[in-house]
Amino acid sequence: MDNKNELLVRVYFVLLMFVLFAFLIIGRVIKITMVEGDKWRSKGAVNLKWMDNDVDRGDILDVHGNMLATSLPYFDIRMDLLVPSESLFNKNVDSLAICLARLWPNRKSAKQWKSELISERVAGKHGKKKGVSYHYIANGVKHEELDQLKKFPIFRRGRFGGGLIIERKSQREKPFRDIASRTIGEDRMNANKIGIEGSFDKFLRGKTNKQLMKRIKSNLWVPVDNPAEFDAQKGNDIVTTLDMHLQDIVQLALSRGLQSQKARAGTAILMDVKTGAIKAVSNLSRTESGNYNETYNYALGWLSEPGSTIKTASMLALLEGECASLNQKVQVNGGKINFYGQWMHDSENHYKDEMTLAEAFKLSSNVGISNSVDKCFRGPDGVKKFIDYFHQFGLHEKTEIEIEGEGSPYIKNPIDNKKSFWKTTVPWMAHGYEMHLTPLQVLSFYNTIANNGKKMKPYLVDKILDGEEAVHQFKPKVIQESIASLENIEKVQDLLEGVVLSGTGSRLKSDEFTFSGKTGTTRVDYDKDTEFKKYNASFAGYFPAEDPTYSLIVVVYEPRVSFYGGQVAGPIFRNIVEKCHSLVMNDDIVDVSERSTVSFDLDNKSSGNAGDYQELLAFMNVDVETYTKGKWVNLMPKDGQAKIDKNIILKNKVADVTGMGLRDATYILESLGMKVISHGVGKVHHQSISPGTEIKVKEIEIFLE
Amino acid sequence: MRTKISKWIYGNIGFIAFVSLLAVVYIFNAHKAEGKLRNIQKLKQEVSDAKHHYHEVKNEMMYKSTESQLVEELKTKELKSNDDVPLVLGEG
Repeated sequence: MDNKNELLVRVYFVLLMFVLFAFLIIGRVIKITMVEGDKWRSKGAVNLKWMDNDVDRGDILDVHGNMLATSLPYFDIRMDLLVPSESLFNKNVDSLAICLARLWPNRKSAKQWKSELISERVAGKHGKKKGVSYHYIANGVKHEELDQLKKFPIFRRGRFGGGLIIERKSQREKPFRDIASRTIGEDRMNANKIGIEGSFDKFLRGKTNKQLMKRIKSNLWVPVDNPAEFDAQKGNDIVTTLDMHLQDIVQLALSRGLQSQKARAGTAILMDVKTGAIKAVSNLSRTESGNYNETYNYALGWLSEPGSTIKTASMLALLEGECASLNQKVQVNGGKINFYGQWMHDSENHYKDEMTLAEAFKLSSNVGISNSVDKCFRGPDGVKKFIDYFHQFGLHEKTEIEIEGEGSPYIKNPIDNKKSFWKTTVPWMAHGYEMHLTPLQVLSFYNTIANNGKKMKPYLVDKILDGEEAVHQFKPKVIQESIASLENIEKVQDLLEGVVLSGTGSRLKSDEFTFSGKTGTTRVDYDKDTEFKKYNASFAGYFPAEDPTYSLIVVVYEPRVSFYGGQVAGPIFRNIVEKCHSLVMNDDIVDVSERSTVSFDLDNKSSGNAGDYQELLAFMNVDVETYTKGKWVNLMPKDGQAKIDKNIILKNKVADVTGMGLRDATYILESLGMKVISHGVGKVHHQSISPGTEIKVKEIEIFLE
Repeated sequence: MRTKISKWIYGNIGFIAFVSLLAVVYIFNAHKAEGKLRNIQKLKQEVSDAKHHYHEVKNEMMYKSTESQLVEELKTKELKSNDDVPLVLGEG
């Protein structure tokens, strides 16, 4: 019984302990949730937060898939100088300093690095200086550099052993640097995004969403609801119509042209005639140092008086209005004329009193063209008709290119612009003054001429990709089926070809390729009396002249050396046509495959595989006399023909490999069990063991030349 | 009463063992999953680093292989671009 009681007492005691313990826990819970609740909740929040799901921005690509803009990571490097132990630091600081100096040769010497690291560490240790646990090493470090950096002494111990702090950042990069950079645009934090980056920002950016994330490691966060879903969506990729091959040609030609002219700026646009796809845009402005950079989008944004390039429109208006024929004589009065009290001059004196209208166009006579236009479109009805033609040609409309900042064309009309519409307006508009257009708008007109009157919308973006899949494909868009009768368009095409063959562009003509176009020379500050006259020189046209593939405009703003469109912009135009021609036009390549024989000549003996030679010679249509059916042969010239002779190879004897390529020579010699050591490049000139000797020494040297 | 509880425990010892086992499996599994998650994150980072590295090198390569850069580069090696008109030797 006693035993039982004692047992009970003990059990109750234990029970009491449990109860007390339970109360303790409950008390603790109350304390934590009620009394210290806020403190703990805020601490918990550190491990749990709503985060913006960061999305990689999409890339911008050209037609070949080359990257025009992409996001690349870069790293900011800091060092916690207090982390490395005394012995580690002292032992390795020298070699670390040397490594750093070697990695960035232009920054600091090894000595400077060393003294900096030591003094900062000492200052930090004594508490004299703050921030040594976050000591600046470098910003904007590339991936490759980081890989090296991670292997440096001290740093290779990582964050907790060596104090290496790596902060990952992302940066927008254009692999082709300045090429087309203004068109590609900028993705800026604190300013408007421009170019394609701006207009297609919504696609490139991708979708960002807020997600509740919890921390499972010091810098590893996973979403709370579904931890497997880390993957943020990447923004859409944008495929542009730009072609980096063509763009490179255009930019190089333009920058050379501008440099030789010391011009203020210049632009060139290359467009696909049939579709209106823009293949290349270059905008270069002179910097203070005399270099040229893409800083302003002249092609799209810069409105100016187009000058003589608009005479093509005037000409088309004359033809459409049926009040002039190309062979009709027009008065040019030695290059000057007075319209309603205002003098107009030709920029080049042709010393003639009259010429045909076609000549006036080809020689770009302001007087001749304006005179014809003035005669044709007189009185309020005439003026209205003239302006209506410009509207019919679409010159008053924006091109509605995808990227922002396109200038609105300014074409006066007698009703809305009553106050500034003078009697002189029409004659001056006829040669490209008193109106404002951007280079792209002028080009669009020439593209329409090249496309037989069918006006296409210029466009820069081909498709939007989601991964590999196109979510949006942009198609060429016809704005106007026909801006004028085909007959008149063809007449104008002939005139434009004539400009290059016998007009202001005749110095540019080539035997190898054809192009059509119109020169333009525009006084910029004709209303001011300045020391230097300022001009814009331009050349707009297309190539090849028959069945055009591309239309192209080159505008040079304020050239210093010369000022005529044909001398300043023309050569740039020609240069681009020449380079593009060899790249894309295959029709005019001289075809010699039909010629029955090709004169055959060889400087040196040539030797090799019979089958190879026969195939090659048959392909080149070379007549060949074959004396042998052996596998290895020598090829010799004989009276302008080829002769094939047997090259006999015997077992156990060194073969004659002179005249062979390295591959054949090595194959033959190594089949004979020798080891080949080769020198030089080309064909085998001589060999260290003469042909026909018994193979005793296994090693043979061959010398190629 | 005591006997009732101990009887119940004895009667369901299999079930209790099973539940405890499940608990252990659950904890083990959670641990393992988290470890895998970390590993995935680490590998992903490595893949993306490698990808970016590839892009960095490729971009540099692309820029250097543009005609304008090649012309500059080859000036010192006395090589220049061929200005001859292309010739067709035969129909492929």
